Amino acid sequence: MNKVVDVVIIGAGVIGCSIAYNLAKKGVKVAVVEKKIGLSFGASGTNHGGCPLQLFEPPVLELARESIKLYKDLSDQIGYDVEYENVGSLVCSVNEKQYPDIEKHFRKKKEEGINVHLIEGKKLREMEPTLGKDVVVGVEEWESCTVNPFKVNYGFAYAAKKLGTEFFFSTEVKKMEIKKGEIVSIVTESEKIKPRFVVNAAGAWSCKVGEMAGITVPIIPRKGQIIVTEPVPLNKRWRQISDADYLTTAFNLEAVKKSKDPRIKLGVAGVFVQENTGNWTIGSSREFAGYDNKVTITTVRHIAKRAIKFIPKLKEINCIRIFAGLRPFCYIDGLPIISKVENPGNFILATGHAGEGITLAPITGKLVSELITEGKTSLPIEPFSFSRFKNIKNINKTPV
Amino acid sequence: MERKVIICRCEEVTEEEIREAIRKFNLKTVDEVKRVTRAGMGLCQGRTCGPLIERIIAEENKKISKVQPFSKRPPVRPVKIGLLAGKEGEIN
Amino acid sequence: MNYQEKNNTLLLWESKGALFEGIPTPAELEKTPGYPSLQRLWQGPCAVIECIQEIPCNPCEEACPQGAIKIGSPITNLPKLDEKKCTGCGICISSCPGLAIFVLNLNYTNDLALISLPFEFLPLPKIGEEVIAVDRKGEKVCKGKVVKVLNKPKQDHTPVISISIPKKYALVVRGILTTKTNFAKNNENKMRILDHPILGKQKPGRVVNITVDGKKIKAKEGEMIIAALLAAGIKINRFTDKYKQPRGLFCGIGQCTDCVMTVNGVPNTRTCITPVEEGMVIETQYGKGKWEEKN
Repeated sequence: MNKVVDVVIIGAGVIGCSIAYNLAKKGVKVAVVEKKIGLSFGASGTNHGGCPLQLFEPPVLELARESIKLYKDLSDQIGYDVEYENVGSLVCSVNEKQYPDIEKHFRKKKEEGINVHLIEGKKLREMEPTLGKDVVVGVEEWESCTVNPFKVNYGFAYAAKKLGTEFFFSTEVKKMEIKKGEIVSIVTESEKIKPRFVVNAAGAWSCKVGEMAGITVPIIPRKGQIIVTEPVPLNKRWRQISDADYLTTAFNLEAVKKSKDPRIKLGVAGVFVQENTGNWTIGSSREFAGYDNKVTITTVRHIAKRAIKFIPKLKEINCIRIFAGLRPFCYIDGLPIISKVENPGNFILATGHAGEGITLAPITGKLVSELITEGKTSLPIEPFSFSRFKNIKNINKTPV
Repeated sequence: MERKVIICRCEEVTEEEIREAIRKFNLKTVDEVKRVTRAGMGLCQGRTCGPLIERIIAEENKKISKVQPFSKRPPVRPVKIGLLAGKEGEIN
Repeated sequence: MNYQEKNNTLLLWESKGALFEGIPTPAELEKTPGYPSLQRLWQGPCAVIECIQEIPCNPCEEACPQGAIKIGSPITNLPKLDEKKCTGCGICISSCPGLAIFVLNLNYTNDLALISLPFEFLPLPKIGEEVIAVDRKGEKVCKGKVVKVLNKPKQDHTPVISISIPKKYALVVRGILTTKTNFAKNNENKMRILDHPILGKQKPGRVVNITVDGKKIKAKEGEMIIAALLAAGIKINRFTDKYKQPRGLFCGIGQCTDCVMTVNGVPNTRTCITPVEEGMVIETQYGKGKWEEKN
């Protein structure tokens, strides 16, 4: 079947659907092509649903801030409750030697304009009795939120559909026909779609889609595992708590490589998000294991061990489910890629949101829709440009 | 007479809610129904409602002859986090 | 239950239907292939197969000497009764594992009908004994008199009792309570099976003391918490979070989590697979339960 549309979006995760919605709002005719049978089968369906503002570094921080603001009214806008909750966030340490690092983090975030408070261990435990005696110091802020990632995905998709977007599920892009530096058709098993623009929002599979367009997109899957517990009473104050080690495991590949600690090597740093139902989603881990999304017991045990250091009462709580997901990670610099490319001229990348996709979904959708319809964006996206890879000598060298 | 047939006993999701979700979002798998309605996210993790939801999907989507079953994840039985964590020095 | 009159002679019953209540409505039964027509029932004794669920099962097809019951392929088909071939011999009654087959003789006498039904409780009633006839819900309908008690080896531990009842209840009555069938609530040993027909005599066992919602209960060492609760007449384990509905034993194999209670301060404890211990404190769980503050 032949179709003619304005934009084809490859990938129906939170990024793809957010872009579809923002484009459809402007009257653009969109077709979303998704290889799985439905939504949320990728990283969009295997995360905490947390948007912890203070765990973002510039230049992504600016986007995250705007995105969280967009989440506040999103439910009303799209007519579907995404369960936005302004739960704030706490970053804390169980290692006295990390005290100066936490202080540094506190000052840095303050400079970056986030309203943070530094709180000592004893006071932390008074405010939040579930925190263990090993917690020495923490930094809190109250802009952060949590959302229900599935509702975000389905909400955006349904709103886009109502505005005329067509979704094609179980439809994998087989090849792209390129003429004179422009993609002229997207070919799948059952469809042949003629687009004016093509957006690559295929998450951990963006590299494969990029290949079809003739470019190397430096994205590899970064595996993370999460433990889900039975519901317990909600924490008094903080429902989004992170280990200070997260700043190392997430952003400092070199330190992780050099470390002798088996836990750090698996990229395990505590990230605890308690859903509004009382279930804790306990993470996090960062491993490069290709596309394997099976749960591995060693990593899980490290996650559990780290968790009870921060919240000891978790010892007696049951874990009811463990799953793994694949984050789309840009192995050159770890930053997202939100940009046009030179060749093909109508190919746009919206990927690489490793571990930050849920937070950045609303703003990415807005910026990419602006990029396509107006040619310029309301927030600077130069740091996320594809052209930054132009002079990389060995772009195919992955850190495995 | 009101018929509130509970399909997911743990999360108390009714048959109506499930059918509405399937029709509204054109859902084809049990995993998708779980994400939208919360059925299967309770303590028994879909052991009781899974086959029932599979049947409802097959009924609603008359084109499907085989419905993809619920994705099964560890653990097989609930296990305490303390047990996973092990004793001091147990895991390396 | 409310009754509706039909043909001025045979009473019917009301129910919310097979799906919602587990009891088919008269209309649902009329549609099942194993249910004979009223016309045939008035002609003489006939089998009534109230099989409404498609499961892989066909002993009735094998049992009928007249070949009047057909299931065929697939084996999940509901049994179809050929009412012309059926002689009402009743051999099929014992063959049904679901105890869903009866034989009705509407013309036993001018005023009475004869119903033959499977009965697996001990002790069996004696011929001439007066029993209480109950409907599909187990509620009392009328009095009946035992006419026949058949318990041949071929019936494989499913005796067939034939009772006479006033004709008008012939479509409603489907079970009996004898004087000895006593479901007393407050006597623990009445619920416990002390002499099991297959497992044999049960050893008395050591007494274990547990507390349930503040009440002291005696349990048997080694048994699961749910067994001790049921013996004490406690059927409700918890109330659900959303609709505040009562839940009790459901799967009994540690899978459905309907039976969970707060045990020694820990909610979500599956009582069907957790053995009793001396001094255990068990509480009805409301919603997600309250966690004890341990320091």
